[in-house]
Amino acid sequence: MYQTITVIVLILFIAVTFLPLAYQVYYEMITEKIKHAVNLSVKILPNCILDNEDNQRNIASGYKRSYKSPVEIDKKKLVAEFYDAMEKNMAGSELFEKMKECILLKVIVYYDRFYVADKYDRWSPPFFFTKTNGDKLYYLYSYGNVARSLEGGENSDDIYLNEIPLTEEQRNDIVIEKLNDVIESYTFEFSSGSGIKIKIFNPEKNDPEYKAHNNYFNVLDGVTFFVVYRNVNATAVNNTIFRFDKAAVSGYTME
Amino acid sequence: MAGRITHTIIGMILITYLLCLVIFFFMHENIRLTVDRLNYEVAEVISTSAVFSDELYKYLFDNTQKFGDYMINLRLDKQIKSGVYDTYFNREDIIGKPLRVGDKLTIYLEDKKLTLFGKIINATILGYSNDRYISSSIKSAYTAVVSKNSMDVVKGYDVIFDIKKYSTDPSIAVLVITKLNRAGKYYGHDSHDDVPETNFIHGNSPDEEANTGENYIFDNGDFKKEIELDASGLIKLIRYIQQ
Repeated sequence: MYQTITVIVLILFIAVTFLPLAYQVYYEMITEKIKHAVNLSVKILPNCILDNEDNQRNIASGYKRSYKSPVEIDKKKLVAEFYDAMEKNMAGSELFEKMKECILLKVIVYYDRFYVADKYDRWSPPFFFTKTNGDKLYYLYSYGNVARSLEGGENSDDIYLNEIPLTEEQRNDIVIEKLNDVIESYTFEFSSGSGIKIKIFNPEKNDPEYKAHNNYFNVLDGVTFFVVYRNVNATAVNNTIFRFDKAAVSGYTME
Repeated sequence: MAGRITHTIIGMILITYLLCLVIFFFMHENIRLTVDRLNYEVAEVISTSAVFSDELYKYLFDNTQKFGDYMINLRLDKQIKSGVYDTYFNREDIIGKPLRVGDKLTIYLEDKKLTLFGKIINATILGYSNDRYISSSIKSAYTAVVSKNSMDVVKGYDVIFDIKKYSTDPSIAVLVITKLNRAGKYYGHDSHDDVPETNFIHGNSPDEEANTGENYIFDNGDFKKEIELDASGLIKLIRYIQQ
């Protein structure tokens, strides 16, 4: 009798410890697989340069291109190629379809503006980095030390940041804040009352503690493409879906 | 008494089987994760270095063989122009060949043998065998999208431009080695040690005509650039080898 109970207890013990651990291992494997697939797929960016004369000149070897005229990206091609690479990198198409739903945003950041595509791949109009000084509106670049005003039409002269007045660190903060505001508005959830904010590195900040906590992601050094995605895993209990409230960012910068 | 002993033995076997199953499952998953990670790391390196070198292949092979008998299958989709690819499966056409932006290299790993976990769940126990074979061999596939051009690889139109560019400099010779002519053809002035006869122009002789000419430079073809210097450190010879 006692032996039977012992065997049953042991079997139950093994089952109770094994099942959660097995689920945990499976979850980690899927999370890592997705991370790898996204990391490899965002590298499609350099292959999606819009095919026109200006861009070809800009990417020609030996040509010193200006940050004021970066290469243009073919956004439709970028999305198509990104999904193609993702599908190749996901082991099963079922996981790919699930993952596709979990990609919240795709973002292209140029030196002076950025575009956002929602989960239905609809690209937004450009969002510019701007700063108002008095009654004048200045357009900022995420690089260099000049801004431009469109007061005198498109040929208006550049103005130095210190004339606005603005330091490069403050300018970077404006760029990062603008990016985060838009990303937050796109990912806003009424249930939680908030959206996603990304810790983007400001290279002009010298605070060691800041550097230690924020040096993972930088979009200010070139044309950057990044995606924001949530975990695929969600558990349904009584028709309510519970998700781990965790999002990840993966991107590639083309200098 | 005999019943109790039998009962104990069956209980012990059952628990041992369950314990082995649990232990081997985690070993199996751990190997799967490690192999997958290895494959990803190699794909990541190829993506940024634009070449799947011999050393990298050996690294992948040696490390995967520690965990089983892995086969490595490769597939290279070489971009000719936007949306048009040449596909290669032969290892000799892929390993060590320089790649360009837009090329895609898929690495597929599969263990030809089952792990202990795979063996145990497909094993015959007390004459009972599972009718449905459970495929538990470890597999991993990643596609590296090349994001940088391999160093020293240029297009055919760059080679034609360089022939024209260096034609005014008698101290520099250009040697173009095409797939049809592995001996190559020299361009430059015959005062140069290597150049047998003066030739500054590409495309003015039958051997340089499209499709039929053995020295025809395909505009979109990939050429590896090698530079030879003289004793004073100046460029003496530029060698272009079609890939």
